[in-house]
Amino acid sequence: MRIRSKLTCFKRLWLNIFHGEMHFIYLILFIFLIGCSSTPLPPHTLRLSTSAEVTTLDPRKTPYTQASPIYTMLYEGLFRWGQSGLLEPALCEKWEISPDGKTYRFFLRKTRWSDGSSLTASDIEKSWKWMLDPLSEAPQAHHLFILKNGRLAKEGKASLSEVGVQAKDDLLLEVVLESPSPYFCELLTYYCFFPVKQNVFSGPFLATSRSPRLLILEKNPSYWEANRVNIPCIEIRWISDSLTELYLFQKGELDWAGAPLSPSLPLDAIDSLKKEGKLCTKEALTLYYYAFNTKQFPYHSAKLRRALALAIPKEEIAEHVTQGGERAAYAFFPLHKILKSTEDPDQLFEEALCELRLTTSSFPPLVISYNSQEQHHKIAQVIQEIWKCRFGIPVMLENKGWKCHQHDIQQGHFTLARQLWKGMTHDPASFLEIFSTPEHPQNGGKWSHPLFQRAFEKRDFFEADSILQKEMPVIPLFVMNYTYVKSARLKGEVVNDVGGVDFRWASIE
Amino acid sequence: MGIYRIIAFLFPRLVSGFLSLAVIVTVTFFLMRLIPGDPFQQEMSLSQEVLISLKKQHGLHLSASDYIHYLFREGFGRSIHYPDLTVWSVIQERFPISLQIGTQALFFAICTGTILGIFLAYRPSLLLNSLLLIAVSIPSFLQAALLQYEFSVRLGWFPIGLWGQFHHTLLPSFCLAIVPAAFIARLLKGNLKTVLKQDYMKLARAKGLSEWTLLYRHALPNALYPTLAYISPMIPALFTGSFIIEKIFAIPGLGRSFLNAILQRDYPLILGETLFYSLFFLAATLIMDLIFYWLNPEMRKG
Repeated sequence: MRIRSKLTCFKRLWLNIFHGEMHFIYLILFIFLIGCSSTPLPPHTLRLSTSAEVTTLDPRKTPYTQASPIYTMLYEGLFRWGQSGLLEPALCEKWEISPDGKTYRFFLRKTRWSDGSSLTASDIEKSWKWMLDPLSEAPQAHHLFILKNGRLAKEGKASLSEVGVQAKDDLLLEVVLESPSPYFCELLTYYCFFPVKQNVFSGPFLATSRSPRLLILEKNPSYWEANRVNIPCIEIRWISDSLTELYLFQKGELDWAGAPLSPSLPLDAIDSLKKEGKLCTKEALTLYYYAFNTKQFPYHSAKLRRALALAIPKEEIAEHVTQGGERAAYAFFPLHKILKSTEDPDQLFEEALCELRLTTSSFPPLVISYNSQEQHHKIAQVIQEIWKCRFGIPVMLENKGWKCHQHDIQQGHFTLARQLWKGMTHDPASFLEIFSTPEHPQNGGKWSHPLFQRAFEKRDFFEADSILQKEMPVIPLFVMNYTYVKSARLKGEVVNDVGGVDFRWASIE
Repeated sequence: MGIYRIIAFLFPRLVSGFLSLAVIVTVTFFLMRLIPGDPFQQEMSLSQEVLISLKKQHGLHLSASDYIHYLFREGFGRSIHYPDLTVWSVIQERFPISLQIGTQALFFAICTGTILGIFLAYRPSLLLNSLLLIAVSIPSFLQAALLQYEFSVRLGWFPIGLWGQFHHTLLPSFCLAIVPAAFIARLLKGNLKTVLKQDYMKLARAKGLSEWTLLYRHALPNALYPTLAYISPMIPALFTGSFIIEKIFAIPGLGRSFLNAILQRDYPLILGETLFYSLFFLAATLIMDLIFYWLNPEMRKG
């Protein structure tokens, strides 16, 4: 009888406790049902995401290059990359170059800002001079040092009126350079050369709303080519996790996932996307390489560096590790065609060891350092294994945060560091200038060579690159690709090897 | 009686709170400047002239004590990472989102934790106990990633991420609430089991009270008190520690912005957000203290 009363007691307790809680359960079910509702697909809106937050709408104030496609959507420059991938004039209609190559005269089109006021040459002059003002916050001002007295103006040693840019007329801009530069027009496609005015826009789109959640761009009716812009609205969100971005794309909530708006797609997904035929790739003018600290023993020996470099099977790594169809690089400037050397790495290594009076057991540990990202880790692991097995030397990996990595490179506290260099123009000098002086900020190993110097000064860049491959102060690994997926609704976008992606001529269903 | 005793209760806590705040700001400041790297070097290296000019702009050329004066004079002024915004406007734009997720997670954790704890105290269940143990052991970011994959990607019951409408808040709050809910459930179960065995419960049953009245009038208050005391630091942590959830679900909250500020070495924003979080933490702890003061007559005596 006691047991039965205990059981009924439990039953009563159960009913008592959960009777009141049934309301809670109904509430949960109700919330659940609300949660199942899906957002309706907005018509004709392009939905994008960037991995680096768009911190400012003024392209002159940002140090980041990841969000550069956003700035090409909001503002227009003197030149732009056209639909066919060739350079074409944008804000300017025609231009003249003086015989000495230092003076450029740009004749501007009649264009307007989004508030209706005309865009004049003095707007461009003011924008550029603002960047060179020593008191203004322009992290990319060094690109304007190509102008006459640009560097001096930034240091405060020259006044802004001496800088080589002047608006001769409303529609005529005269620019004087420090030294002739055949790729100056290509450089003008870069967003820090765009004329900028607060809260008004000159590009195909204008920003209508900005919150931490969302940046909304709409078609700019005052754009000079507004008739060619077919997308009425773009929504841009900040999604730093590449896997979440891919999920959202696959569910249909985003129209683009991957480069160039984000660093890349998640590595593990690339293979399956390739098999499904959805992966798109475009070669970028970007080099992934490892830099030696040539001031550190024993890496002052070019023979040793070459031996280590030749032992890396770049094609296999590109095929099995990065999988984005990257091209193996044998030259520092990606567009130079230099053949792979036929020297035998093992023989070179033996000779180097003899010269340095080292053995594999007394070899100092080689530390490969890189910033924390899945791709860099995988590549470094493979190279570590190859060198350990083939040469028998101790190789270690060091994984750091991005800022620590950069800091160490600049202080010279590294042995072999992973670096990346993006070209802004097709000028080989933009890559090779890194080694023209040991003081270049990217030249962490502080390498220099008289033959290279001479070839660089003569502007014989192919020769300079060949010398670089003989001396091998850096190991060029891959020419990076933009790997991305895009929805079938989007047509007509232009992906450029230098400029990123342009949606101004695209259309969306 | 009332007001003087409350002031006597509050005053030492406020003083120690402000002292803690001062220590937190100083330690954060020095830690921040010790980390290698500066706010300006991004993917492309800068030239020396530009670097010097930028440093002057943000007062980073000053010595440590001068820099603290500069920051306080400017009211933590402009963020380096967001050139057009002040530190306060960054916090203002993003905190309500984290607040919403935190509040929903708190509500969910308390409700579910309490119900499960009570249920398990009366009816031991091996399955539920194991589930709770798993929920407490697996790190929250792993749980969030798994749940996101299962419920959002494969089954499609919830949105994968982003922020906008109410249904965007459900899965993130749920993921944030799992570990606290499991903690509350296990603690409450243990405490309730102990309480139910007490002599005064036997007396109350003998008096003829129903189990339900017994529960909410005698058992729960005595069991909740030690449980709450144990979890009171967890409650403000719900509001301030959500950056993993925010990253996975792409939610523009304060946690993600804080993490980003540290990675980008945005010194004014790091200090401003640390100060904000500390104030929030101290205020929440003070409120919890006041609640205990109110709940427990023993504390009122001193």
